[in-house]
Amino acid sequence: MNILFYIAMLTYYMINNALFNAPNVIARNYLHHGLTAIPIGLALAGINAWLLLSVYNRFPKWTMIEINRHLCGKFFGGAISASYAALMIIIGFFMFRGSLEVIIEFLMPDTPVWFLAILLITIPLFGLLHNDSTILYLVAFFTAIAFILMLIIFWLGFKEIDPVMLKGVAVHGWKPPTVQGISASLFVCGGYVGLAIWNPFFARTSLKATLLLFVSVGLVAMSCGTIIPLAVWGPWAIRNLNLIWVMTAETLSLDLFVMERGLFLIVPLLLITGYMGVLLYIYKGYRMLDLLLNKPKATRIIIGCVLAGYVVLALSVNELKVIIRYREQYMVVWAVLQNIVGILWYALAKRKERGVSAP
Amino acid sequence: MRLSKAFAFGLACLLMLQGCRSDYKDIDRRQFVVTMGLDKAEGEGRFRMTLRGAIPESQNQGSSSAQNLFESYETTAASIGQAVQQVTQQFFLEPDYSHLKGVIIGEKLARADSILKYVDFFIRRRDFQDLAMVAVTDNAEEIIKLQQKGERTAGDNLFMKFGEGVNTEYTPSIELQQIYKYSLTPGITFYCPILRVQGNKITSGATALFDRDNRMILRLNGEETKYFNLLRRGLDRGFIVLGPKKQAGLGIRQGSARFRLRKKQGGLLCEVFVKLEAAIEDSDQSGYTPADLKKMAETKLNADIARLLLKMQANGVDPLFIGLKYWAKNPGSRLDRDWLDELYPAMEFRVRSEVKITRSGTLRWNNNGDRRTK
Amino acid sequence: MNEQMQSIAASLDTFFENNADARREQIDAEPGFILYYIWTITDPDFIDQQLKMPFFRYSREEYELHLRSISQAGDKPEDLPGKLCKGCAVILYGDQVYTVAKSVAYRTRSVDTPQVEASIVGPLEAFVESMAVNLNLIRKHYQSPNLRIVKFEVGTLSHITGYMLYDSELADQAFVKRELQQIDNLNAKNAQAVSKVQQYLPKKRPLLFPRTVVTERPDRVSEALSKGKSAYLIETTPFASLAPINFHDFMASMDDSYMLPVYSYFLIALRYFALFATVVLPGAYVAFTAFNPEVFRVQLALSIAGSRAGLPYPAFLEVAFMMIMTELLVEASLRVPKTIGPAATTVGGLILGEAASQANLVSDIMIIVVASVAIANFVIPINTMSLTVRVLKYVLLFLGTIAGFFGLTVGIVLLVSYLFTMHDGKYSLVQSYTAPVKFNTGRAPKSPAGGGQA
Repeated sequence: MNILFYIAMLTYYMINNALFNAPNVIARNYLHHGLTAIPIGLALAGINAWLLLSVYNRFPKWTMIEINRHLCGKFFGGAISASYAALMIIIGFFMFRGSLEVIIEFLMPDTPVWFLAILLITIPLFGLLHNDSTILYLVAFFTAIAFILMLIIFWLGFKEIDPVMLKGVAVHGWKPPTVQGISASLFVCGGYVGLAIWNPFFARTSLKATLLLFVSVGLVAMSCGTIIPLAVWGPWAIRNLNLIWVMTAETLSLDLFVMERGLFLIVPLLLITGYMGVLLYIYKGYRMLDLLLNKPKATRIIIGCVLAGYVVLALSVNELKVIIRYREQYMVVWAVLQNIVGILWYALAKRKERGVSAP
Repeated sequence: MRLSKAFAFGLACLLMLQGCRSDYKDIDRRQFVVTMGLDKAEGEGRFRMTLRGAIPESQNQGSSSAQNLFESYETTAASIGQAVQQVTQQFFLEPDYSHLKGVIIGEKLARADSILKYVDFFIRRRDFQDLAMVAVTDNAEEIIKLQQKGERTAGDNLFMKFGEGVNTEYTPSIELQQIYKYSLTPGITFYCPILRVQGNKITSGATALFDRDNRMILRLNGEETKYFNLLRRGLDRGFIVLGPKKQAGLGIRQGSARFRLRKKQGGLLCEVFVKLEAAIEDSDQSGYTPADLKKMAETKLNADIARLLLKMQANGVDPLFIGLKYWAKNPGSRLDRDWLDELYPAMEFRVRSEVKITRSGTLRWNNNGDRRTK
Repeated sequence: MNEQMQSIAASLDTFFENNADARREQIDAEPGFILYYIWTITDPDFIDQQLKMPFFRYSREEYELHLRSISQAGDKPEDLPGKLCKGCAVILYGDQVYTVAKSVAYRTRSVDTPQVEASIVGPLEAFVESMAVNLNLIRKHYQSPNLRIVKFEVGTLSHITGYMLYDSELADQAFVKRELQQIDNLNAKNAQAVSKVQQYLPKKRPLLFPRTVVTERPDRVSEALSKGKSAYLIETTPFASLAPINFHDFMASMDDSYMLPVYSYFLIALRYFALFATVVLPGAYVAFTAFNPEVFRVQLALSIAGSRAGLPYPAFLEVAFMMIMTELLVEASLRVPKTIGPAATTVGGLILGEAASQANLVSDIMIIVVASVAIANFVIPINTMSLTVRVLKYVLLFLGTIAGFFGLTVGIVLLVSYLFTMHDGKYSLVQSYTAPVKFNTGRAPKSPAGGGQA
């Protein structure tokens, strides 16, 4: 039963990042760097997942905080945990501002931003009422909806594809990738970082299921998410687009009840993934801090300040381009840290094991 | 405790109510602009914009049956953003462009100016749909102001023409987003259907071809439009006139074209394979056997299509995206402006068509003839 | 009769002073046999045949034996008025006080067909306001020796008898223990209905989503018992309430398990669609017409604009106005006598709607929206949920009015999120009963030794 929620969490990451994150990096730079980042990132993610899962499965009752404390010592381990919590909070802001950008652009152009920001912040605020399991159920519920919407959109997108363009994109896609592209592609499969908190819940996580999911859903979502916009808009026009998948959906015409524009299928999908993203990241940051500091009241105050900071910062950042650029850099930092921690954990765990068995 | 929480929540809600500043606009306080016409006006870079604003049918309209479906608005400006802002002076309801489903561009404007700047505006603004149909005409204002009898929803005499309603081989329909992406893709050019008003009806049957600077350069007539559509994406209905002696012909049931590009000494060779499934509809040509008809049709197609291809090549336009097809097939190639300058003009065409006569409808072929001979 | 007896008799006499329906009968000539009872809640035949007649027929010893067999002795004197109010007969005989519980006879109606939860192919019996009948029905539907029935009393003033039922084999013992504990701590002055009792059971009173399913069908109770749930019944209500529950229980009708699977799945899907429609439609109407008319295709946008043309007030007032009218209509048809109920609906629904649209006060499409919202609301099989949903749509209407489609989606996510946080013990409202929520305590063991490789 629990494996379903694990799959849902991974799938959520894939949907979110394959549609709204990776194309921004990979599809935009297609002409120079091609699509090779996708398989490379996927392979890296597989290795990283293998390293981390082997450590997590060794300590089935612990969260990342305890494992860090055990493996890396109190201070260094605490530093790693704190940096993860900080990364969660930072990416939470990118999700928050990104969703807000779409809302401002397509739904509420004239409403003051502070009002929209406060309304959006109620969702992570409500998240603090949850506990570890209920939030997983919530994410799984919305992931199911998002997954169906994603399939519909992919199917509509396939109908709109220019076959000549598709052929061209496939033929010309083999060029040396960038670091940004690889980390974006790694990020798509990054759902297993959720184990940092949910490791006791998922207990012994199946590596086989993880890798299978990477190859099935992850690869499909990522390649469809990158190739469909490329094949619909062409590699030249796509460089001018701000929100790649939203603009791609805008070119889809459909015949669904009262709607005839594909835009209004992607907007709910985007909102759902955006809300869940903000909720999940804030919750993860909150729980990590909670476990790290062990002072519930102080943690709540910190998270309250963080959320207030989101609203204030959201007002000062005005350009989507800036957010996208910072998020690219964020992903590189994240990918480097993730890989270092993966190798470090694995090595330390092996050493400890040997140390224990030696005497 | 609980009461105080509820109070705080209510207060927060009240505070939020301050937020609804100006996005709320009831649907009856908006006027939907359904089509837009752009014509050349006097002066450098100036144009005249004509809008058709729909008037919805009221629910208690009583006996007054003759009601106007739309109202038109006009303004002249040098920039499209300014024009859209300027025309607001004439509205008494908020103009809502989200249902703008047709953009008609005057031929003079299209020939004088790059239309990319208008298209860019429509794509950039969130409230214009990118799916709007684009067409070229002699006089855009005339089309916008034309009131047709069968019109149910304002503007449907125009936007139903591009496949949503009637399906004809004479309209190579194109959307705003397509124009945008084709004009940004180097090495290829785009097309537009040409409409005109004829006796209180809108008629299609010609194509405008744009050059690489997004100006209209060439006009294809009705026959050429049909072949252009055949080459562009195939046909599923239509008619070939076998002429010139007899104005009778074959009905097209299915038609498609395939391009094959090969390197040859001194340039490229483009082979065009046209496949056509035809049905006999006219019994005029009863003197011929199906084999004769097939041969006549193939000769005719080869000649006409080759003429069309050469005409486009001579004018330096590539609306069939042969450049893109070449790029898609060849991993090493790059698509840029060189295509239209060097490779495309030197290309050689070879057209091979194959006509298959498959059906003769509900009647048998040549039955009349048989009886007469006996 | 000794002193103690006389003081008891005196205290009962004072209790009887202002109770017009209380009877004090001195059977024996000497003050050795006094019979007290309240004749409105006792069975006169029983009193005559089992208490009075034998006295004259048998010898004193035999009568005493008879009394002992049907009564209990040794109640404290201060409990006696309470016993009398519960329908017991109190007998002062010789040196003993006997209370006879069997004499109670509450007026009740006979078993009727279900009024709230109709069924097409299921049993047509519903609970009544009598424990004897209700327990009879449940025992009829659930003839298992594992059925446990715990009696309790609610109301610090009203003292109403209630029963909690569970299957000792199937039910989660921890849950049952906790429930029994909560019943002991129950602190409500006056609880007449089982749904009210349920509100006072947990520490935190549920605000929006009901904690239990309230049903009048013995077959639903039997089904719940067989799934390991517990049921509560109270003397004064013809309903049983079931706990723990999940959300699907509110959407399931008993017919679902009686009908063929394809048909019942279709009906379940239909009900969820109705739930979604009734909650979302009013808010969506405002959000789409006033904020984002570009969502509709042009023909629909124009016909909505046309039907709203000339309306004096904004869309959200129009929706709120019409929805309150329908709420009034529903409430009115519930309250008026059955005979004029249809007339009220006709006047309200047909004539008012038609006239309002003719007078250009509401748009035709709005009437369609409101009518479908009302109809969809009635599809929800459990009444308590139906009422909750009736309120929920106003929340979404409010959010749709202040922030359009964005507000609507935020509202939906918040509602769903709130629903997901609901839980009863370890049973979440949105989870299957057979696989309850696995809560981690939040804090893993501190010492490294506890969590190492097992």
